[in-house]
Amino acid sequence: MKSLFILNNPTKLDACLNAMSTQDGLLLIEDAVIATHHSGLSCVTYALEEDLIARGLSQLVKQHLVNSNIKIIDYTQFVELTLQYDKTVSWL
Amino acid sequence: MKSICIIFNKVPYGSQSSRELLDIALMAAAFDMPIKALFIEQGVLQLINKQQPEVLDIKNHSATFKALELYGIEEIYVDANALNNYQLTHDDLMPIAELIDNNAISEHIQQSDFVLML
Repeated sequence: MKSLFILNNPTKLDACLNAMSTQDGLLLIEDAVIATHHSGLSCVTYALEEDLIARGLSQLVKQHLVNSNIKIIDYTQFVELTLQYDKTVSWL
Repeated sequence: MKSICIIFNKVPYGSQSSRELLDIALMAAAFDMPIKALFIEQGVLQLINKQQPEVLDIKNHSATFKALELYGIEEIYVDANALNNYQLTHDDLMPIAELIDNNAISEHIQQSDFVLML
């Protein structure tokens, strides 16, 4: 089963990564969008654009993303993303 | 019937999350849903044996953990790695959980239809 892990708290990133399996995806939302520079992000990772814009982080994060596999998505793509996985896990 | 995996990852009594997760587990058991309870990270502290929240005028919900088995919830697991981090051993805990390692945790999450944390 492919799971989309949704993280909104950057301090819980390591615990969340620990619980994921290789085929799972990670979506960073709310405060967790600042975690895009985290070195351990070997899994398929997305960050929510609206949360970046709200925090004025778009430019800064785009620099991080130059050579990384993190994809920035908006709310509509967020909804579509949830359909590509068997279930979502909101890591709280 | 869909299976559910309930994850406890918080220290007891600082929030209502574990009490609520327990209620959900018992309700799901009443509907005969296959249930797994995972205690990980700080959540392993939920299982410590000698809890006395009465000193804070808080209801001691650790007794309810023992009720899990009465409701037919037998798949109860505790993160061995986290226990080590807190220098705890299996004997410090209520005797209801089986020690598991990190790979087993992600496997249980992967196999369950629903995963719930609070």
